[in-house]
Amino acid sequence: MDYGPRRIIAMVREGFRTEALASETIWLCASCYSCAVHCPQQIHITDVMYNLKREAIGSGLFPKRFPIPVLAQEFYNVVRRRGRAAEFLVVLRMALRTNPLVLFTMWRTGFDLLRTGRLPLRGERVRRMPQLPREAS
Amino acid sequence: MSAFTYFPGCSLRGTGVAYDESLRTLLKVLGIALEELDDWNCCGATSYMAIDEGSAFVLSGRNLSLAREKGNHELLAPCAACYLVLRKTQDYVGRYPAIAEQVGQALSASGLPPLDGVRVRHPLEVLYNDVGTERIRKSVKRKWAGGKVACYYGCQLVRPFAEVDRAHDPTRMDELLRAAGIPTVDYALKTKCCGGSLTGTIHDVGVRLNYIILKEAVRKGAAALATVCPLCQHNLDVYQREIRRSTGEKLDVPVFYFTQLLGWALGSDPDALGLKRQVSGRRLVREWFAEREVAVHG
Repeated sequence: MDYGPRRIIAMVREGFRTEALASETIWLCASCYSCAVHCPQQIHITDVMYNLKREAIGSGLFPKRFPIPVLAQEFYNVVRRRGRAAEFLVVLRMALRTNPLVLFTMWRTGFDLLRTGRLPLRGERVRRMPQLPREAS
Repeated sequence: MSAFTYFPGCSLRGTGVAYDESLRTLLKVLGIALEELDDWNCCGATSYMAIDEGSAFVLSGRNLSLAREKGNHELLAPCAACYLVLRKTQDYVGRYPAIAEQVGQALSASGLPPLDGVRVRHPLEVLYNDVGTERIRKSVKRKWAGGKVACYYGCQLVRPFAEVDRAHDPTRMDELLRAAGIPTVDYALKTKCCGGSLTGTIHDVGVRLNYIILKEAVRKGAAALATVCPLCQHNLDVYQREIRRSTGEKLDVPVFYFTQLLGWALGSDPDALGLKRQVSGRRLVREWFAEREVAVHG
């Protein structure tokens, strides 16, 4: 994490836009909503982080080879095309775009999941795709 | 008894298939009918919402709308992330006119009805509220022969909407398991985040979070964990070999869905509960479930 969450909020308030949007911190937010329910001012910090993530993607300032925004993009792309997520496809595409070598460290986990019938290699599709948002935005 | 429209979500078709199996099996035993929502789509959770919020609400909106169209407005969503996004969509559509307009337009352009009037339910709360601990207690068919269980609730099921259980100190899974004769331990980390998809991205950070959650459960005397979310179960279950290697600790605990444990106590077949799909603690799983068929009473 390059800055703490408090510092990110302070940077946004003081106009350090580029630095905040290019940070890794905003992507490390796993969206657990712990801060949101603890904040005495009831600030929706999780939504603030989501907003920063989207702005970082929109402005192209996100860290390009940092796996988290890449995973988010690939998840998004798979859902845009198929209507449903396929865990196998998303992780594979993320690895190819960031660091293909991690596939060598993942094989054991992949094998465990295959062996227990938890890794279908063929993803599912929605039939009525025109009902879903599809165009790039 | 009652009937629900069922929204399994993408994870229950993959890594979380045992959750799907055990939920269907358990509810069948309890006489609760499930009908899967036809042609459901991704809920628009976490990663999708990080790219495009409006479309994420449209995705969830379509699922809600399909449920309404179907006539049964009780929509059962077992995945914590799906549950949260469906609830969040309802909440934000009601609160922010711009979101309501975008979702409403997308639905009517697809010839779908508005999304209102659907009640999003989670199995934990359905089992607690609709079935109740008393009926679980009376339906027990097998005596528990395993160790103590730490109930792990994770984050998105209890936050920010504390409708399934209390946000900071949920107890309903503990109450249900105890009613089924399964002892649970006091466990302070029960709502700490498992790291979500971090295990797939910044692997060390994610696995570290898993380690803390597992280690504390064992320290409290638990021999297994019970979960309510496919991502929590996956994270806590499949990286234990790595944790053993990096920490040198002998950690090998089974991580179940709470529906697997309840289903077993209520007499269901272990295979129909997906109990062969555990990665960690397989020796204990075999010991506790497969070879103790004799311990049936009632």
